[in-house]
Amino acid sequence: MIRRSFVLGALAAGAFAPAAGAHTLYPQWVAYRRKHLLIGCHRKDPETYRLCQSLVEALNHAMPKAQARVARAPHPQRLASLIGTDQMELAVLSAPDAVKMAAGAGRFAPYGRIALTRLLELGDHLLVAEAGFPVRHGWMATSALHDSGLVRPLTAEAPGDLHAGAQAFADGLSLDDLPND
Amino acid sequence: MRSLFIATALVASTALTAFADTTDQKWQTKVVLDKQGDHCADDPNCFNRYHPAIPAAARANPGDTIVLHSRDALDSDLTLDSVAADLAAVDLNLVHPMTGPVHIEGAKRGDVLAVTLVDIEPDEYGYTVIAPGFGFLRDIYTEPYVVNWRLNRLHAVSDGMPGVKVPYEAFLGSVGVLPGEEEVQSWKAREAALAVAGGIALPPQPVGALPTAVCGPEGSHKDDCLRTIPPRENGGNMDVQQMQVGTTMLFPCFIDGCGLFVGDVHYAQGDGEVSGTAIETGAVVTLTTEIRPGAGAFIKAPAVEGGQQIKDIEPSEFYQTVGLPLKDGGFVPPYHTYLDAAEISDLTNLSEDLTLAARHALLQMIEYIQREHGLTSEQAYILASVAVDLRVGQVVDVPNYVVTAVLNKDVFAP
Repeated sequence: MIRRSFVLGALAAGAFAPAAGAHTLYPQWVAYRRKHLLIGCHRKDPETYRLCQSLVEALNHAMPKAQARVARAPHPQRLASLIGTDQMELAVLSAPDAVKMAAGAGRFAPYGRIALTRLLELGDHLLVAEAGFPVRHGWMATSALHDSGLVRPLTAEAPGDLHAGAQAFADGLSLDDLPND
Repeated sequence: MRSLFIATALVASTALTAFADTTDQKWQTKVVLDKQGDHCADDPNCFNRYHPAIPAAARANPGDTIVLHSRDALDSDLTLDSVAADLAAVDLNLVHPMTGPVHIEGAKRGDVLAVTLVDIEPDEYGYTVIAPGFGFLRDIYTEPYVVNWRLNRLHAVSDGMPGVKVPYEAFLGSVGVLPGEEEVQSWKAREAALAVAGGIALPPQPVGALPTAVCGPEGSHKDDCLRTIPPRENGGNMDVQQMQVGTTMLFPCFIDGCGLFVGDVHYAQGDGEVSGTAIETGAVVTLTTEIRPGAGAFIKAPAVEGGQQIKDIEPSEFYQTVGLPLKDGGFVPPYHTYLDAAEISDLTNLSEDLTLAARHALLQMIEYIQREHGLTSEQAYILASVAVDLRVGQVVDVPNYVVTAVLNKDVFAP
């Protein structure tokens, strides 16, 4: 525990940095999205907003320098657009929405297939990460949240793979065991 | 017998009403573009990039009454109960949704299109936001913030701005005509050169671009559709509050038919729009047009003809701060970073610099609003965006040009 606290405490601001800049309107938005770990949710499913707020609170308690923030979209299609154009990396979705978004099915068809991975199971919802979310960041987020009381076994089908960072944490690997992304 | 009497009375009544009512008497030829669907992407009358290949959504003759239903600047889903977290998920590739283009019959490249603003009927909701990284004080205000306004034709009020009523002084944040192919290439080149030099100039971005067939990722002109953020010689996102109802705006026409468009209605805005947004809203906009043949030879950029309107938007009571081009040593303002910043970093006084003077005036005004009117720093910045005018005092008294900030104190009237 001491070791983990040390690792999390050593995180510098900006450790979570979305890759994209090309899709943002103003270059300064990149700075904002580098400064904060944004977790997406949407208004069509109020439970995603509640979970998002809880996750952000837990993350900021365990890992204050992540400066996590809620980003509430009007509907899940907006999250597909933001994740699919590298403007967002994490989101809370219902399991059925996560499956359809990953497959580019139904109302997500205009955004195509999106490489989503599972970061945390939250009962009938999921914290998903875009597959490019760095392995070390996935490990750190999983580590920070796994004792939060929010994690509950999934009650429904979910998209394919566990995020590599979450898998590494589940396998008992330490952050030092992981390569730099 | 009784039913016959009733029927006869009804006919008489109807006939009397028809003759007495002016509603049925018509003389205007109206061209109307309604909104269709929730967003610009759903609407064949809406687009968000500029290119001459964008097809006309309607055709009108000069003198026709043109009625255009417009969307808010962000093509957003913001509502009266929106919070800062909603702003963080806005898709910024969607700005600005424009209604049109309208082909004006008989207009030719080289003419000037005179556009008279007849009316703006605002929606009932508007918003003003601080968007991270955007706005004049973007280095100070780095977190999202939103004020939701309730609008009518008199004033805007908000639970997020207690004690404030902003007068209705609506205008078109964006209005203009489509560029020609020659202008597209010229403007694209000059903005690309500026970007290379470190300035803020965005290249064409097909993601989210509309119409998809012309400007989208597989569009016919995806690399040439200009973004709507900068105003240019064709008008566009000028954000000039003096373009009030009753004024006539002049645009050099670059393509046959001109390609008139409107959008981004501002319910009210201070000169400067310092937070990056005014009171943003959708609206029903009514216009008429006139062609001035050949006037493009001498009108090369937008101009405005007006009268009393410029006085009507003046405050009856005001407070004014005076800004000078002063700063702290070691500080490089965000607007100067692409220039020779090392040269000016240690200076505390810049020469002939209106931008820095404006910043100085605005910072003093925000401090005044907080001190005298009890608003928070973010509220004061938002209020400055919608009710404070930045004005040039003088550009001769070297090295200290003056910009003032004028607060319309009418907003505090009970």
